Amino acid sequence: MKIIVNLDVMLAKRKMKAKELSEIIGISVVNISILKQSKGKAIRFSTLAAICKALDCQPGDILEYLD
Amino acid sequence: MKTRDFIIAVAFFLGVGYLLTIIQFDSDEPSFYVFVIIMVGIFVFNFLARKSYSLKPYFTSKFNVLTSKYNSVVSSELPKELMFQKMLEVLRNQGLKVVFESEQNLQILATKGISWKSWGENIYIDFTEKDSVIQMNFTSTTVMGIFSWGANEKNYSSLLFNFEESLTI
Repeated sequence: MKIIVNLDVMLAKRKMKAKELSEIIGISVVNISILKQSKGKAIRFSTLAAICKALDCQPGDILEYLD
Repeated sequence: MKTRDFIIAVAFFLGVGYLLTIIQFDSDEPSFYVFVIIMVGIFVFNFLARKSYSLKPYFTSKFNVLTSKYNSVVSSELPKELMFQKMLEVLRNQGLKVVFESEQNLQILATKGISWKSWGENIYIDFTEKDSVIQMNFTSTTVMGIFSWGANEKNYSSLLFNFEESLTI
């Protein structure tokens, strides 16, 4: 039972690189990599909103609950 | 460990005290000057050598009684390379000066400046993989000082706290 971050899938769909996204939303590439690997402890609403805005998607497109 | 440090410190001060008593601060006594020159020499050498990662064994050796050490191992789920980058970010955000970093060998040396507690500390970090678990080896040593007065332990706890905090993205 865990939350999976599908950021790499969305990045691939939008043909955007992690570095590009990090520059747009203003967080480090290291943090993007941690998010992509679902190794983060928590994600702020502000970060989620910035990612959704940059990738033109919904939070559900990025986060997935697996039982 | 602390008891051993305490015994070494007491023995050191008793030894120095005894030495100074028999020398009696006689300006004609050459051994007094030899003692002072040796102590100043070690002090200056430690300050010059602190930025060299290759001298880690000198500062962290159990035989070096003039430095206080603290080491700990932390396991992580993050890959080694990512953990290395993350630790660099955390160290810099914490205001520590990263004086050496090797992405190839995954080694970091950060220094902390002089405070009223100590003459500064060196923080050595490297990463190993044991049974497919990533381990971060943390060592904090004083540049010069038999006691760190909790500075080494504080470095460790604040680094760990900031690392955990930084995982909230």
